[in-house]
Amino acid sequence: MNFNLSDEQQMLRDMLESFLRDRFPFEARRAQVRSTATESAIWSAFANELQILGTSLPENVGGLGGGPTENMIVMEELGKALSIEPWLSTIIMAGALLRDAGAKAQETMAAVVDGTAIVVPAFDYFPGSFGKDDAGVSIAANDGGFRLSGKIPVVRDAARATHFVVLAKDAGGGQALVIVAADAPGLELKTYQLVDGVGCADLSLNGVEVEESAIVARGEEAADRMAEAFNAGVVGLCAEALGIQRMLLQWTVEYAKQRQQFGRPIGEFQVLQHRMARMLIKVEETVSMTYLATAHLENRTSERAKIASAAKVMIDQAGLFVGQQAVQIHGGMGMSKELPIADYLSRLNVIAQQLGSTDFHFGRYEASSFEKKAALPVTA
Amino acid sequence: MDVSFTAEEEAFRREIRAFIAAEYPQSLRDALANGAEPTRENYLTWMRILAKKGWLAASWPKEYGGPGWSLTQQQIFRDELEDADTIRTASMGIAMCGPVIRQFGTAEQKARFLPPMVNAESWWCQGFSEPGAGSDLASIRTRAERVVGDDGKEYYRVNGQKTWTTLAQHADWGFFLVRTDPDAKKQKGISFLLIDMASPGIQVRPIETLGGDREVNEVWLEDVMVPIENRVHDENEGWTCAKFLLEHERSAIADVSRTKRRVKNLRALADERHDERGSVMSDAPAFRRKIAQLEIELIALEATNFRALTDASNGRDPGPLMSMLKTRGSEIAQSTFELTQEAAGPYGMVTPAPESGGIQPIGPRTGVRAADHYLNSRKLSIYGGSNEIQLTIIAKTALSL
Ligand SMILES: Cc1cc2nc3c(=O)[nH]c(=O)nc-3n(C[C@H](O)[C@H](O)[C@H](O)COP(=O)(O)OP(=O)(O)OC[C@H]3O[C@@H](n4cnc5c(N)ncnc54)[C@H](O)[C@@H]3O)c2cc1C
Repeated sequence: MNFNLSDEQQMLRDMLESFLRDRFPFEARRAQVRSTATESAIWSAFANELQILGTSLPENVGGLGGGPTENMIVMEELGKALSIEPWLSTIIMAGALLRDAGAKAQETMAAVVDGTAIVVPAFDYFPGSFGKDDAGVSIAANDGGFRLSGKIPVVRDAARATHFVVLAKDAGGGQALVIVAADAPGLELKTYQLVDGVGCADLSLNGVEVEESAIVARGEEAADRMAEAFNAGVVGLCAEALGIQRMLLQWTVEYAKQRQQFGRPIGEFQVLQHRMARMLIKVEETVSMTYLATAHLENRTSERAKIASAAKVMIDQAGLFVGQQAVQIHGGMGMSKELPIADYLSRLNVIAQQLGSTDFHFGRYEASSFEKKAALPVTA
Repeated sequence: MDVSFTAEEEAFRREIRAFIAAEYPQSLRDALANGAEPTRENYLTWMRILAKKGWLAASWPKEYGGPGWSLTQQQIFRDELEDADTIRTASMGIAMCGPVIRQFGTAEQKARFLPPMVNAESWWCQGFSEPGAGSDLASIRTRAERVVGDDGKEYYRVNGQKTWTTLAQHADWGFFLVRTDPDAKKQKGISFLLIDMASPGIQVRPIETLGGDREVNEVWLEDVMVPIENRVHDENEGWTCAKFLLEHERSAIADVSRTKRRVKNLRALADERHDERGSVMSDAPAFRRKIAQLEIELIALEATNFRALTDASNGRDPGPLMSMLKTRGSEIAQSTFELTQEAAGPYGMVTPAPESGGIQPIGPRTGVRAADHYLNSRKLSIYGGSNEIQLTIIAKTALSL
């Protein structure tokens, strides 16, 4: 067991932290969320100035060969800044889906590393959930290539995507992962915004044509890749939530020291002291679970899915407590957009439902712990 | 001991229900479907209909233009309004300021201010909190000095800033706590003023909050001239009025009727939605248990509310039960919003884009803007005396700690 970061990893953290502090103050985030621009100066800087987009990706796409630990470091910093850059979608999840998956996949991920492509997974791990029952994409041979048709609901980061990775089923029920260019004829986006400020879209594919080479995996292999991407995504969310919780705790403590009521700082009231002590305990538990889940991914242990779900449950619960208490201790100011508190709570709130709700991950953990079943998200 | 309603009470319930069914405008229902933010006119449309029937000031005695209902009847009335999913009525006049004027106002003040409240002709806002005075309300600094105006009459000249003023943008009048004696000890030097919101020197600025809608405001007062006869009770007796009023606010804040309606919506949503595993949410054991927990807590809250009503009907002071109702009422309401958001799923997280000014809802109607509403519900444990303050009151008054 070793939760130490290497010197390089520590440097990555320091560099990203100071970059985001300087270049992405909260006003910049507000402006980015309000704008509909699909270009992001931050992402360009990741590609060109910091050159970090390949940190966790393999060398065969121009990456540096890092992995889950690098992703954890980046996600925590993005969480602290409440960034809406698509690292989770593009680097972590698309990275897992397309790793060593043939020429087209490598070419596409190489374009991600140099900042010219943004690949976004566009499939629903939970088809038929929450009333989205018209979801699903079919694939059929057509003229030496293939045609895709169907609907995909709630795709995060969709407006910024240059490519999507789509899960499609053929008439025989076989499934395939397919790369689809965002500007392909027949692909339509209905965009909207979630409370965390991220742009989403419902996609419809109306006979979108792709070539054979766009199919990056089939059958079992497609399912395995999806499971890998799911686990990595869940752990990435945990790291993001950690960054968010850290900031909320820090700001709340600062506020409690400075806000005066009844002639003294509210931080002197013992009930609030204990509340903030609890918040700290939650944050520390979040640290522990994030590190642990990351180490399981890093080692590709057989327990990594179970631990990812355990981490998601703990961190969703911790996030709810830390976020709600941060608002509560700020009083009315916690409700106001003059401070970033409300926005940070909003994001924690979405995380608790992203890539599986807390209840879903309870179920996945239980299946693994009580029934000794490896419950893959795609088959769950 | 008796849990059933009398035949008269049941008849009363039917009368209310029939009235709402016949009179609540469909146009209002349509306007507010899909989670749109209500306009001033939306609120007033329904308030005028109730006023015409004599039911707007539901808690008021007959002599002041209310229906003179018993506390149980009032509870039934609230339940029916909520059950039928009607728009809320603006309550700061009827539920807060009106009772203060009735209790402490002069005959002239009663004649001037109460009838417009009853008739939905005046909208009131509450100007108590200030940037430096939230939980510690008695530390307000907004200053009111006595001066003689150009017309030779006596005025208060008011300067200062209020904050968190709910729906001040709609208000015709505000009731304000101001400091009339800066040298007296905190609670002693405060007066209760009624201020025309159209007075020169008043500026209302919106505060953007969690959950989107324009709800709260800053109210800036610069050399606002308030006629001396707009002061309720004696000079420097404003704190007595405020304490009286906050008791009224707290009892309304338990909001049992409204939470019951929200639980009903939640149940409908959970019957309709499927979780990630494809089970209907109300059949999923884990989710069902959470709803059951919530419902049981709500049953207990309602029973406690009835006890408080019984005490009040018999002229006994419900005392710390009021603080308990506020604390539990807000917590239980917040759980309802949490579970509704959970049941609504991803489409419940869609929010109107800041610049769009509207929404294009996706997914079931009962789940629309569930996340916005959840975020907004965090206020319930903050305003009206935060839950920390309520617990301190309970510890002091009930437990003598
Ligand atoms: C949506 C909304 C609507 C509102 N509408 C109105 C309105 O219409 N009119 C109006 O006048 N006001 C209104 N308010 C203001 C509301 O009454 C105040 O927000 C409330 O009194 C808390 O004050 P504060 O926000 O300054 O928080 P603070 O008093 O600064 O409290 C911050 C935190 O410290 C805690 N705390 C404070 N003192 C103690 C203590 N002694 N012991 C333990 N903990 C303590 C509080 O519980 C809270 O958690 C509204 C507020 C909101 C959020």
